[in-house]
Amino acid sequence: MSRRRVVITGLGVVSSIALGKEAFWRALLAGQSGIKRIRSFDASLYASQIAGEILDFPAEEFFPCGAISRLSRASQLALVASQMALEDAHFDCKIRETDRIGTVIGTALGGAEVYENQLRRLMETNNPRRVHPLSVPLIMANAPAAEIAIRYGLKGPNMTFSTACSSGAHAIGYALDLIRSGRVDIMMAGGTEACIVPGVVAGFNSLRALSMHNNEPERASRPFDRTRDGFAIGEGAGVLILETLESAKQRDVHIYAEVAGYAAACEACHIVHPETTGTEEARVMELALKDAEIPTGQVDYINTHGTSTVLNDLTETNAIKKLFGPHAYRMSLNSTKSMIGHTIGAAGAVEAIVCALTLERKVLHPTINYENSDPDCDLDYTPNHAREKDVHVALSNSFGFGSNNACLVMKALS
Amino acid sequence: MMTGESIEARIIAGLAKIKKTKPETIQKQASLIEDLAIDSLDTLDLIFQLEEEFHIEIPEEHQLRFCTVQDVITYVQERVGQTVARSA
Repeated sequence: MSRRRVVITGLGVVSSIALGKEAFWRALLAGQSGIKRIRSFDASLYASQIAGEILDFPAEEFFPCGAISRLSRASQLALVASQMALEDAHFDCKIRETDRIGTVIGTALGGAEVYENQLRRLMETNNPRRVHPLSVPLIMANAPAAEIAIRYGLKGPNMTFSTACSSGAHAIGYALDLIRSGRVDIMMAGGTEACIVPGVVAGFNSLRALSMHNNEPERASRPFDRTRDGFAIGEGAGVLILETLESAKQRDVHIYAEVAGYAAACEACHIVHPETTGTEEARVMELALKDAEIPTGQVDYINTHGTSTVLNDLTETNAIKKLFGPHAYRMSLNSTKSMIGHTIGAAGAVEAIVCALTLERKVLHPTINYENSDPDCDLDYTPNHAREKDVHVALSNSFGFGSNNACLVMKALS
Repeated sequence: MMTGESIEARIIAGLAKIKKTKPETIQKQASLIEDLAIDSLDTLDLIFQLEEEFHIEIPEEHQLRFCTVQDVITYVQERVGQTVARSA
């Protein structure tokens, strides 16, 4: 029996450079950076004082009065992205309330701001009664997925992936698996992250993971550039509607691309460092392509994990060269994180959205701030300017803390 | 000093926030459960807000007295009055 084919029919994205896929795409092609000095708290004592924050997020436009206080920021971002994705897919879930539609969302840190705020209250008051009764349901990592399902009556499986920086990619991969298995027909899949809060930023700083280009925030995230010195933390959410090809045809809706393959693999190596020869990252890409039944030579484009850390960008380049051989030099690569920073648990989902738009529109967004070539990173990273390219097969890499790797394969529908 | 009216307005505003509605839609005679559909989580939220806002502690047994919006207003007015009287 042939495998069910799964396609993307709706996209919703919320990021530091734009809200909504069209504005997001325009900003990406223009090479716009969303990295600025942190505004949500006083970061003047922090080594890295910059981030991709969503400034002036119009929460009141999306949620009725009072609702905001019952949603973590990660849930708010996910709900807005999911509403955009549903509208984009011309979907009215209330009509089709069913157990054949599920939800899966990736998030690394869930309601981080709620946790920090409530902990601060506890410490300041020394009174446990001053911790809000809704703290736990707001902090819990599965709140965004649950809030989406409750809002739209999605009674299929409701899952949350928390695998650090690969959470969003794993969510989409799992959605693909569920639809292929026949358990569901449609999935709302994505990632959300809102962790620009003092404790988390301090933790990443202590880990020496963040860029310290504080005086030129928009130039801080510089993946594959020789002077890269760490990532810029970002917040955002991306949600995709995945459904069977049959369902999309029946509904007569626009199809962006097919999700052709996925692989999840653990390096079982180190809690934060990648295995630097690239063997493990090459393995996850190879497994994903096998799943998609696509030979390496047919890959046109990779949306890299491309964080702008010294080690990630070198390892990822090594892995691509190891798997693709001479073809590595013919492919195009880019890093969405050069503009929106690293949105952690949302990154894999936002970058899958980028792949879907690239496959649909045949244009590559640039990797900005690429100014100094690194002899060890010598592939085509689409430096600084958008470029047209006839992309048929795209890969999206996501490599997370915890040795946790994911790769998605998407292709234009033939 | 808090007046009876300001206590009333603040409680109604708090309930409106919990119910995601406008304060003018909340009637003082309304039953919390039957008219406003306040559930157990809403009740916890309400108690938390009242304790926070009026600097009182509401023992669990007192919460059973809250049937209508007016019951809550009366209770808080009494408790805040006691606090003021004690501190006078």
